[in-house]
Amino acid sequence: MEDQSSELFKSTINEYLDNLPETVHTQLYKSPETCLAIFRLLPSLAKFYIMLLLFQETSIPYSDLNRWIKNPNMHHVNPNKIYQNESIKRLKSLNLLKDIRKRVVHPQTGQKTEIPFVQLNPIFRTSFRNALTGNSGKLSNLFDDESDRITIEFLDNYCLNKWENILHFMVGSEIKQLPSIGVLTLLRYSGLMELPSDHYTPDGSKSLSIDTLSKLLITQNGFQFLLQDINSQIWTLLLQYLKMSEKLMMNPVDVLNFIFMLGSLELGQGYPITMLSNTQIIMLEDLVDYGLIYDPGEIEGNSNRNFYPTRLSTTLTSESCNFKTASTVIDQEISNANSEETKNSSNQGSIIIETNFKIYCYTSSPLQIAVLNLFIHMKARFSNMVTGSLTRESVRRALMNGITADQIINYLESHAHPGMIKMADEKLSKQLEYEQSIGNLNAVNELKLEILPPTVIDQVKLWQLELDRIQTFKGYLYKDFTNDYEFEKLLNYGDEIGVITWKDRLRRKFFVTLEGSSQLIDYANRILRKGGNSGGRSMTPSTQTPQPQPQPQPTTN
Amino acid sequence: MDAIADRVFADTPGGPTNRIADETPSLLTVILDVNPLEWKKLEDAGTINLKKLLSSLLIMLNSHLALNSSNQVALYTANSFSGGAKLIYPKIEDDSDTATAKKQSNLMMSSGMYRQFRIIDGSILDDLNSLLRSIPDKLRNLLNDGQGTHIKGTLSGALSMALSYINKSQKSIDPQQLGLKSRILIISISDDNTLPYISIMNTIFAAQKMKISVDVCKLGNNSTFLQQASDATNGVYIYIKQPEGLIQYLTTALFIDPTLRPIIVLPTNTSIDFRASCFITNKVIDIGYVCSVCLCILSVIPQDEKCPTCHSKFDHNLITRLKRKPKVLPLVKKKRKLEGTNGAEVDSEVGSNMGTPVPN
Repeated sequence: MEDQSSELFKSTINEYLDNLPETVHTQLYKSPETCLAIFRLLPSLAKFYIMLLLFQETSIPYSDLNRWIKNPNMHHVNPNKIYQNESIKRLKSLNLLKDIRKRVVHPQTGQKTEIPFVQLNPIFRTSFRNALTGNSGKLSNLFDDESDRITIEFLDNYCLNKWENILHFMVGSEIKQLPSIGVLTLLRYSGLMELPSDHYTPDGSKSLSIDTLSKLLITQNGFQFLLQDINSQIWTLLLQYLKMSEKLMMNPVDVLNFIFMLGSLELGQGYPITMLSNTQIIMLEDLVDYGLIYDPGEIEGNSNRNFYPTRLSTTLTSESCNFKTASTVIDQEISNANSEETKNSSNQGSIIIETNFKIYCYTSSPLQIAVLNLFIHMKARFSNMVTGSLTRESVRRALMNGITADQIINYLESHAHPGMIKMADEKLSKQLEYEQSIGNLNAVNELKLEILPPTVIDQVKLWQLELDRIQTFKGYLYKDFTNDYEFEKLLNYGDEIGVITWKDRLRRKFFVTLEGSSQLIDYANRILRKGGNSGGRSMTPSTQTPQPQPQPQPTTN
Repeated sequence: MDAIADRVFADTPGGPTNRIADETPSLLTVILDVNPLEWKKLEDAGTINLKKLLSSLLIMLNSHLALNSSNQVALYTANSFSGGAKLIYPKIEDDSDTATAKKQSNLMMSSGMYRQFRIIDGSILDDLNSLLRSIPDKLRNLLNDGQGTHIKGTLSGALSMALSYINKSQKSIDPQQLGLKSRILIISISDDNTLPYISIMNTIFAAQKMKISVDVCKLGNNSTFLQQASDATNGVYIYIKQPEGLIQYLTTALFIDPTLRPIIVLPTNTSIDFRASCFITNKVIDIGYVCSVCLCILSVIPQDEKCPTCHSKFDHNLITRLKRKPKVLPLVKKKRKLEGTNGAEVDSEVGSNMGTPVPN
């Protein structure tokens, strides 16, 4: 179960792309928008390598890539090298880099040697060059300058209502309108929510009626999902959508191209539906349900229908999107309505956490409060702020729900109030200056930006460790004693030689370590023969049904 | 307890820091030298013209924006004719009417371009176009006035404007720009003697303090100041003799993001000319006089015997002693005996006596 939940959130778009076959990659790289989006998803060094090769017509020796990398300490393992290998591995798994072996004649010795060369995928190179230089004429037919453009505010409100509705449904708060059946099926398919009956028949692919689906309950994965920022939430769902679409025999190239194209479209601009392929038109309806696209529907007297990408989709390929959570934008709307002054301070994190575990969050969104309530003990609510504190109980409750300490910390970090970030930044630069002034270069490399108080981070991690205190021992379980005398005698002896790890007098069971078992059996055979009662039954592991299985020993405090 | 704690708290080496590096937005500020006289020289030499450079530069800016969606670019021109240094992009009033900007840009750019690129490239080209159109008239006026022969470049002005812009962006509370890393790229074509030494040095020190690297792409003649500038700020200095493959330089050697600098070997030259320039003649000198008050460097003693920078009065007696012609020792006899070697000796002695102040 634990493996599954971590896998869900680690399987990012990168891994999905990596595992695509080469033919699909080749198809994908024909579209400049897709190339741009994939480029943005790469590590920095991989991006640099691509730029290095982009305007090279020929292949370059592999050693040229190595020459760029610094080696700070000769004798240690070079962390830069590890990073480089990671980057190159990513490039190769995406089929962006190709190895070629070339026979080269050594200029001095005249010896023929094989040297590895690397070359950029030629299709990617052409498309990406076109994307940068604007040579491709593909998007040109997309623009129709209609005067009745839909305002950006409308689109923002529209997509956030849709998205918040889904999240509200997940946390189980009261909502006016249920999300559509497509959304509910996807939530169930992705394992974020489940029906009570799913425990017995876990078959997510079967279609169910909306009445049944409305009884969905949130799972551990769902709790983790809520703590992600909105961009990764959307990606998580889209990835599940991709997996589902494969089962429905949709063309993955079409689906991916559409998703990446959305990232390069312009907010508030209408695009004709006629440009889409049949697969993409089916997708369009699903994406409308998630709030990624607004579709005004068929307008009378206008045969070519338009669709409007929302902010959720235009920021898909950006790392830090314009709003961290849907709720902050709602806050922004409210504050805009109230006064123009607060406009500048909107659109940012809002959580302040002190070293004494007290938390203040400037929000009035029920959703964010509901999310915070997952791991915070709420104290008071004001018109624009809630206060609470991280307690052992509240964190344990969250941990029991399957949320990890890292997720809590990440959530708090990514939603931290700018004041906290500024403070941490100042502290870091002061420390850096100090360490540099005394020439302690090792310390300089180890310094990190600490947005949250370190005490809080450590404590949350310690609370998680409390739950992880499982120790395993190999040994034998002794049970099914015929009478109290045998049981007490063996138990006392075992206690004396210190081989008993666990005992239950009521059920006449105890657990003996692997090494101690033979000693105990010898003793048992001895006393039972000496006593002579019940016909000298010998104690062997087989008759006592010892179970050589690790016995979990939970420590509770 | 420690053993348990270690397992969880130990970070995987390289992992977290690199993840941060991948997501930090960065700001690229380009300072483009548009001195028309120098460009004319370059074009006449048949190496490169402004148009070719601009197309490469725009691709570079696009690539920078392609790295990360919260990346930003800014472009300044250093120009002596049209109000000195000028901010070309981002336009200050541009925020409100992107629609009009787009319409203009549609005229200039092919429309099949990524939206962000199209807006930025279009706006840059429009502005530069209007700037260049106004130059011929101004140039003619200047030449008619008879002072068009030597015009000081405004690189230092553009540099300080760029630094202030970076400072403003870094101080902003916008969470998108949090932890914004910045660097400056100077594309210079002018000679060293057009650079005002003091102000350039001051901007370099400012950049050093702000930990902003200054990369230099030098066309035309090699420059010692800009070498010093990039060296002091941990930047890259590249002198390009054959600018045909300019795009390759711009997208590799001059394209190293600040977050990648700890990892990548900078392709800069290590032998740097550290000579200073005379405050009066603007020439790079080997040996000179230094004002004891403000440390200003002089190759000649001014007529009024005052420091040109801090206006402190020099001691007249000292000056006359400095100005005194060095006495040539009567070495005539010796010279006859050992002609070849002594001749050189005399010359070198004369030379050093001229330059070195006589100790009091």
